[in-house]
Amino acid sequence: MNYIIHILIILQIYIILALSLNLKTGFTGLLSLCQAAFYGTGAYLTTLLMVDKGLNFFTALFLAILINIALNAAITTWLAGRLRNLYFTLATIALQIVFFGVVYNWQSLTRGPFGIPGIPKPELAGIVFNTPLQFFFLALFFTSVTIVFFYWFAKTPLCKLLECTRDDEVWLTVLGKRPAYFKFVSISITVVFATVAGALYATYMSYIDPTSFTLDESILILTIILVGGTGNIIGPVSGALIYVLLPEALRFVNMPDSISANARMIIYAMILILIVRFKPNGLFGKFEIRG
Amino acid sequence: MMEAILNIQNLYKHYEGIVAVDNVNLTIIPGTLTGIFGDNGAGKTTLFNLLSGFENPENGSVFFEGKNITKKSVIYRARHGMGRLFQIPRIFPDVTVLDNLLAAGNNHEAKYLHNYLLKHSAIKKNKIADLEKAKNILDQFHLTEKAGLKAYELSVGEKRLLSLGSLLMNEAKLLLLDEPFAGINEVAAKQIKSILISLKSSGTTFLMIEHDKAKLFELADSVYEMKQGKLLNTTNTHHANH
Repeated sequence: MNYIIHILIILQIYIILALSLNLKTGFTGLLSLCQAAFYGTGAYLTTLLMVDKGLNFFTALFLAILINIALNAAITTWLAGRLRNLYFTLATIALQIVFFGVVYNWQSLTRGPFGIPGIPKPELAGIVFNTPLQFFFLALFFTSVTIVFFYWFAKTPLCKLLECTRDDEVWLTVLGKRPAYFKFVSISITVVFATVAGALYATYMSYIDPTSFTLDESILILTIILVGGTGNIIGPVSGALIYVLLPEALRFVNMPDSISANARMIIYAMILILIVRFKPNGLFGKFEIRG
Repeated sequence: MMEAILNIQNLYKHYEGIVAVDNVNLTIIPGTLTGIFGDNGAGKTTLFNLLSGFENPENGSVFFEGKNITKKSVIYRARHGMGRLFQIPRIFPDVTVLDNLLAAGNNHEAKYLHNYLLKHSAIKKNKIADLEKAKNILDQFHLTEKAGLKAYELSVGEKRLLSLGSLLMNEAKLLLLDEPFAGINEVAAKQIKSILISLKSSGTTFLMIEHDKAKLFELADSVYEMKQGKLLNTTNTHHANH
């Protein structure tokens, strides 16, 4: 039972990550590979504020969101204002690598490769989210808020302006609108929800180290929205479901343990190739991701 | 005499030894259509780039409604009523026709996330006003039936109309039209022509580049030829017609 709950908690973290990347990459057209840096910064900031400063989970999360926006959203918006398409994507890879380098080497703050153990569980009004089932409900709360927010946001005039930023920045400028502002809004919202995912991950696992927030992780999160599709809610959610549940389903295929992990990734990669080839919008997506 | 909406004084721009715009002077009165024709490379598009803020002149000034806007950005000019229609129509292709128009509207409150909590009613009110305006434009441009289509599904002529409609949503008073009749069939050309006449009669001002001299002389109040960066006065059709 605990194993299923564990899978569902991880699934919810990936749903939040995929939905937040969907706004930046799907709606706003900023193909980026630094989602794990946003997620990792959120995880580290929440952890450090809880462990070193003794703050409770919710205060730490709130401050982590603000700091993460000031750091990552500001830098990424600056990059997005100066670089287009592939050049922007390459710059986000650099940002991701810099993030990893900093958390790996700044040992006095992050404990580097040793990681930070003993992260306390979230607590609200005397209730400690200690057991997997309790934590599942906390994750469910944040996932529901995320889904409701993005469902509502997709219908706002502001979201339409993000889509226009993706479609033609020059035309938006000729119409008197500032594309850099809309990119900042999109990236900031992405950072907010990536921080939530990071905070949930850190407090659920009770331990973080830099290997959870690598470029590989950013690529994986991008593949989730590539598979599921972008521009709506169902795309990223279904992508996360496939990514998290497919390996679990493949456990029922009799496969020697020595090759099962690699075989699962090969099957996932094959699905990805087929989708990119035959359904470039993803399974349920509205837009093709543009680089 | 009526005050000029656009006043260009000694505008000059050159690229590596070639003078693209050579001391151009031009005054445009509100509610008129001024036409420019000329060969490829005569400097027409550079002149439009200088007027709309995509490029800066080396010399000279541009006054819009009496204000010196020579160094102002594209966004500033757009916000103060200058619109530019490109030869290859610019649209938001993956957004619906209606949303293309709404995005060009002036729902300023809707740009800020916190306003959805604090100024919800103002956003709603502006949205209704923009929707009404967009519906009128769709009606006028015969695009009502296509309002729900993605903009990339439109024909070239329809895309140009959508572009023009978006500029009107943004309350452009002066429209710089770069070859509005290029690459479209006769039916669409007739439609654009009648829309331009109707907009002009309601006070919109136009500066139009056009290869088709017949169309230009038919529509324009005054026509200029651009030759090696210089603007040469030709016939004042307004007087010629009388």
